[in-house]
Amino acid sequence: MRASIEVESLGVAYAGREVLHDVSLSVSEGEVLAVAGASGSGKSTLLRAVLGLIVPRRGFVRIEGRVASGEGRLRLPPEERNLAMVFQDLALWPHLTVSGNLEFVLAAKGVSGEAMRKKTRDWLDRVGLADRGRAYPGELSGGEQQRVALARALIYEPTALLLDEPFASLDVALKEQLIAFVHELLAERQVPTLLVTHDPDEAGALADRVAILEEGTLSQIGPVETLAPGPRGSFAEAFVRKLSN
Amino acid sequence: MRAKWTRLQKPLLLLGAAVAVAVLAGSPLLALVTELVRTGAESLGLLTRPVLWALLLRTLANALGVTVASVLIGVPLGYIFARTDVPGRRLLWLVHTFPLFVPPFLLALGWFYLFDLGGIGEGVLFSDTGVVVVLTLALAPVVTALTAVALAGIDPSLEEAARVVASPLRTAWGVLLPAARPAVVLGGLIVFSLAVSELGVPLFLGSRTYTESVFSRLGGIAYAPGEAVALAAPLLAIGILLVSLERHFVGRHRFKLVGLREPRRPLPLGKWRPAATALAVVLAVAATAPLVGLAWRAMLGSGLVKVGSWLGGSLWTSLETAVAAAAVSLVIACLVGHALVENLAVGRVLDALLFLAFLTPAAVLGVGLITAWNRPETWWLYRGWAILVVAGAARYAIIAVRTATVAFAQSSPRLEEAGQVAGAGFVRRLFLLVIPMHWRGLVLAFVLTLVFCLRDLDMFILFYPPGREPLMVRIFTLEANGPPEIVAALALVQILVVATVLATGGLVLSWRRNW
Repeated sequence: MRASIEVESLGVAYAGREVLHDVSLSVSEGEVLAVAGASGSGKSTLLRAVLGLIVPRRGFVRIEGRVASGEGRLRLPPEERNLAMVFQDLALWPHLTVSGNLEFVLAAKGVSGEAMRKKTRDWLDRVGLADRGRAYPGELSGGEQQRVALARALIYEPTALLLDEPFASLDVALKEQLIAFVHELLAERQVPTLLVTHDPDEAGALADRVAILEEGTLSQIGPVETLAPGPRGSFAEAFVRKLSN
Repeated sequence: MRAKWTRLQKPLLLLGAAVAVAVLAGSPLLALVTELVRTGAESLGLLTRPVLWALLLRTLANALGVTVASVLIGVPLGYIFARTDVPGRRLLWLVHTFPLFVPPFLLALGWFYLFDLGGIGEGVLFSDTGVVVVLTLALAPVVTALTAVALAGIDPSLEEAARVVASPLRTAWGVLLPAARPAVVLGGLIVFSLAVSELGVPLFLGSRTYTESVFSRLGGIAYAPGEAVALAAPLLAIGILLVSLERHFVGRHRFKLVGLREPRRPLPLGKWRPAATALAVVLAVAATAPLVGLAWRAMLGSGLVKVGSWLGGSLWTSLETAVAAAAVSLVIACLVGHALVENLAVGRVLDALLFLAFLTPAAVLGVGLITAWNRPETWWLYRGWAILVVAGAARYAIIAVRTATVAFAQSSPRLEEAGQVAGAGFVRRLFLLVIPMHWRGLVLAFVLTLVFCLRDLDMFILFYPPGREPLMVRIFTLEANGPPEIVAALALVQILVVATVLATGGLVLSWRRNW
């Protein structure tokens, strides 16, 4: 199966300190890969490097086989990668209505007029917010905001979806509901997804494979059932133990 | 093709901003340096005169006095207004701040009328002490405002952690004020620079200054433009020193000055509350007292009735100059502010250049503008109203840049990244996301720049075109031999215009959206 996102021997440094070392992974069509790691392990840095928001010092990022970043250079800027991202804080534009948020990204992709409005209506309907199009993000509940962020990310049919701990700020009940909703949406759309999380529940519910990132290094990668507990007291040990329960 | 254009948007717009800043602020400073190098020893020989150095020292000593006094007043008031339970502190802050937007020369004039009204001897006023007191009351609000917004922006948990173990005063002294130090230093540097620049107050109060010696060589019987260039050299060095100090002591903290946090419960001052209230009331009233003097003098001779015929086109010149300069500054501010928030080197360089143009005494920038633009090939600009717009934007664009940058820095960078990831190019992001999201900050940037252009006297007086003098220049020139009631009435018009601009800005900013 062809890889939608391919990361090869990636190294990223901030202020002279290397925060990602020699990371290699790929996400294939229709697959959900969870990257798990403790705080500061480099998960979000990995996402930012894939998106092109930071330039890696070493290695390559390929999007559908095309080199997007490589050899310390940004070959494709973020706006040309056709990726989508749901940020941890969602980053919904507060001055635009819910419809406005969706229409902005469609317009950026060259969709306009009635086609844009129809697609917006369809997606609002799909995420259960058909009657909230005129509301501003600040007027929505946490769960509704998550749905808008998902709709905004998927509406332009991106090559791949990146999720940066999107459920981190939700209570347990809402989190369960939304995980089920995302699971259904991803299965329906078959969009390759890179999910960053430190939560075994999220990884277990959504991911086909899990990669464990420890201090900037990928310690293991594979289907959930093949993951081995790491040394006692390590993130991998706690994560895999909880995943197995 | 589309992808190529998208990639070029940001570099092209930043290049445009760089060219604009280079033309506005860079060319006068460069022209000044080039002229100094060209004339070399001939013009610099003037600087061997001890009398000039004595004058420079006196000017710097006065400016230092104003700065120290402003910090001594501004820091406690900033703390009182931002964090304590002094009654009516918001109103008192407003009253205390308003004189900042009034040209200091008008405040000196108001004090003169007030002394006259009270039958008090004017000896104290017409002295170096008088200059220091008048300028302190005019400029201390800079320190007050910067301290207050810095204190309001400090993470509440830092303050709460200290309050668990310490009294309010110890918390203020040990935690809050050190955290606000970059803002206080920035305030001090701005006050020092404005005090060195000031021309109207020392001229009116009969105190000789170095800045005046530059001014006098640009007109009248002492006309000697070459000497003015030479005399500007030490002031340019002072400007560069001030920018270096700002880079060293303030650095990147300058954009963390405003943390728009939720209102917090003010710190109770307990037994200190009456004393703090009295201090705030006295200083606020003292700062605005000269306005009473101006109003009294204008009414005494029915100046307000006759003022229309004396205004001529000066009010219109002031307004159109200020609006145009503020608009140019705002465009630059959007681009440079954005680059600064992204920590791009081009942003830092342009910010430094604009800050140098602001901190360098007005006479230096003025002489530089004359040197750069007063030549046959640019007379089309120099001999018309446009030179005032160029000058206003050159000197005050930094106010718009800093205000816009602080506004941009308040929101999460993820908001723009989300647009970028979704495929939006720089122009689309800037015009549809960044600018609309921060419209309040940009309105504030426009209003502040406009008001500072309206209040300028020190620079515009050096090269205003014939028949197009701004209102402040007209008031200053009339003061020497015009009817006092007319001068006072014109001053009231100037103050009223500034108050109207500020009130309109306040109204626009208070407009609430659902988001």
